[in-house]
Amino acid sequence: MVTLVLPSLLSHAEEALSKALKTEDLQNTTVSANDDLSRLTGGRDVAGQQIDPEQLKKMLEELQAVKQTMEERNRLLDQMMNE
Amino acid sequence: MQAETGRYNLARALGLAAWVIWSLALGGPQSFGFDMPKLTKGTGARFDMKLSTGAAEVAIIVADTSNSESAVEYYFKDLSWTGIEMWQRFHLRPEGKKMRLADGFILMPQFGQAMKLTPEYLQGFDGVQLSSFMMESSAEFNAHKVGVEKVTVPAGTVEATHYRVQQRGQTIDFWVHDSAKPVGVVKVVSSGKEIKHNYTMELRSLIQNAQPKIDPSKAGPLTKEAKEFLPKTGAGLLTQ
Repeated sequence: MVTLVLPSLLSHAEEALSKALKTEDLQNTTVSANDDLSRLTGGRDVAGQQIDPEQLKKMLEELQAVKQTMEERNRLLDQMMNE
Repeated sequence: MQAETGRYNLARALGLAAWVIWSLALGGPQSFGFDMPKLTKGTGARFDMKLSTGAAEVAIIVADTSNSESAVEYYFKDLSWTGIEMWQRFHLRPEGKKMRLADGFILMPQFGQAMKLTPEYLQGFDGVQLSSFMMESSAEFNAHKVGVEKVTVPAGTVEATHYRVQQRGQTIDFWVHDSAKPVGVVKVVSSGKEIKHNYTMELRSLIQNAQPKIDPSKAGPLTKEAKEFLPKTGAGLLTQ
């Protein structure tokens, strides 16, 4: 639950100071994504579908392969430099 | 290849920025000397983060607190199409006049259960070091004070104190205000020659009554797969 404090004041924030910062009460739940932000951009592909865990796991494996390739490239470059 | 590397870098930059926020929160303007900072379980803050490689959401809460130890938990979400989520929990204990990072845990749904971080993932980052923020006195911290400025962030507008820390080619400007406690940080602007050093964070909201996601008693060992993905904190974060 998000409690917006003094919305009229915030609308003139350029000149005024907030008497309190915006506060959200999670009511004993864990922190997860902010609904407003997630609705806009988070965790969705171009078709608007949530990425499934298997797909993400595969992506992480691909990223790891990229990392290893780059490390190997750096190792070869170091070797050439030393020679 | 370039886009994949960008996503890989994003995950690492997230870790760096979270480390900075955590450092500010627990070693920042307040001087706690031998005493643990007074923290309330379940309180914290949520930040909007912008990097050169994308955007992310970062939250930090006090996961637990006692006379001998404090635990903080981080939440990250990459707001690009990947939607990667990650929770990290760190335990701090006083050691002499400093705080020591005693334990760390990580939870990524893709890797299954929470895992306990091994020591090589708990040491200092490159760039601006943790020790830059772990100051022993208010006077030491005030040496970095720039002034008092009006700052507007999504959570509101405050007259915040502006500090600047520079080290190893990275400059971090940050604004703090008592009303943003326990974290205290309202805004962070980091800049530098390297991609990982350039990001901003702004306070979106304060958090109350949050439950931690990670239960240390149920954490397993760090898997090989997770070790390969995570940046070692003592190594360059974006050196590839």
